Amino acid sequence: MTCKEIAARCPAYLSGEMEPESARVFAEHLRNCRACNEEVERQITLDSLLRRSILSEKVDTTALDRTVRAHIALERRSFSPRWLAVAAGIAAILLAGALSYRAMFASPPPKLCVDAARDHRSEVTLAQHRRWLSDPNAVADLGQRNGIPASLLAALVPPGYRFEHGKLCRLGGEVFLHLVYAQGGAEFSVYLRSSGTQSLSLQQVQTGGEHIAYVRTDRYTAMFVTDRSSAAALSLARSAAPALIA
Amino acid sequence: MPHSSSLLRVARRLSSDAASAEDLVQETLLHAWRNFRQFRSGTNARAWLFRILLNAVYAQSRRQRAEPVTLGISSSAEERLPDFTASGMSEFDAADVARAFAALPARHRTVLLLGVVEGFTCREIAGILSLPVGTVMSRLSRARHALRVQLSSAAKCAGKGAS
Repeated sequence: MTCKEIAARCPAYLSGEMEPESARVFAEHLRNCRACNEEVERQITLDSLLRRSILSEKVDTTALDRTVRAHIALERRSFSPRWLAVAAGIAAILLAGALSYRAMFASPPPKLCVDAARDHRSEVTLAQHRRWLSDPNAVADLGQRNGIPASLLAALVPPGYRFEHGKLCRLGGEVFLHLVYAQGGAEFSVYLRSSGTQSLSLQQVQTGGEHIAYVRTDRYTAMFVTDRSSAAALSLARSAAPALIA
Repeated sequence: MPHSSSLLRVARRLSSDAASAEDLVQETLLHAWRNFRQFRSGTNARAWLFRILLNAVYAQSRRQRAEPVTLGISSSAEERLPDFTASGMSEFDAADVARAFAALPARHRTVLLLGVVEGFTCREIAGILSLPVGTVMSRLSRARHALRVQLSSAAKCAGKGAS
């Protein structure tokens, strides 16, 4: 290898892309040629200086990441043909039973639903995480302490979903257990509290971009919040209703 | 988001201001998300993201009709490599190097960021920039050369880097 060839092939040597035999010949030339050896040493030092200089810059991507996640969440719920198809399918299945819920659809959204939608947006959609518990046993303990049996938590998980995490939160001055379930990249929230009321109702409301199914039984208040569609929220609530009533 | 720090670091060095850099990275990540089907499984996702970023940088330059920053060195200066040793070079601090780097043309900054800072191989850079590997290697050599010329100018002013 000549000095000119060494200069030409130096970038491949420095990036470690040289074939073993070529690297051996290259290194041998450096051992025997002081000028080339010093030149390569200078390049290695220069690379190190440049790397240190650029990497010393602090890069905070918190706001950027949050914005991108929010855009993705918005697009996912607005434009996903897959979810539109799923929503359409659920809507068709629910069509037969829709009449019985019509009166409830017209009801104004309870303030709790608005609070739940806001909480879901900040905590789940925009991922402004607080202290979540991801251990199902720890969340079950938390539920027990707030009058929600572990068996109910297990029964709430719709088929195909997995439990992600949970925590306590305060909505409308009342403490709720906030649970998040996921299926692929899609997440939904359940806000659950043990209540002493004697009413039984189910409302489906939409506030902002979130769809909420609001369930109140004689023992529990539960809100199922999703970004997908009203039909999806209702489906989640109907899936959990037997466990809430039992 | 995966690789957002690296993408933002590179975007800041290639765009006119911090806000533009954030816009470029946001555009890159959203483009990647929307077009994930175009990503070939088993290939380098990081290189794919940087390719999207660089395309966005070029598109922004075209929109702004920005003139690339030129080094403005004479051909005779290009032929005379500064004569400081490796140990003399270590006298330069991060700010000296950052200033010299900022004065380089965009094409030189691009290959140095990808190859030296982000650790892409010449072959990967060739894929990102849609250039032949040989062109990438010669561009990297010229970029290192140009950086040393810039540092040489700084050294003359500050009395640093002498062997």
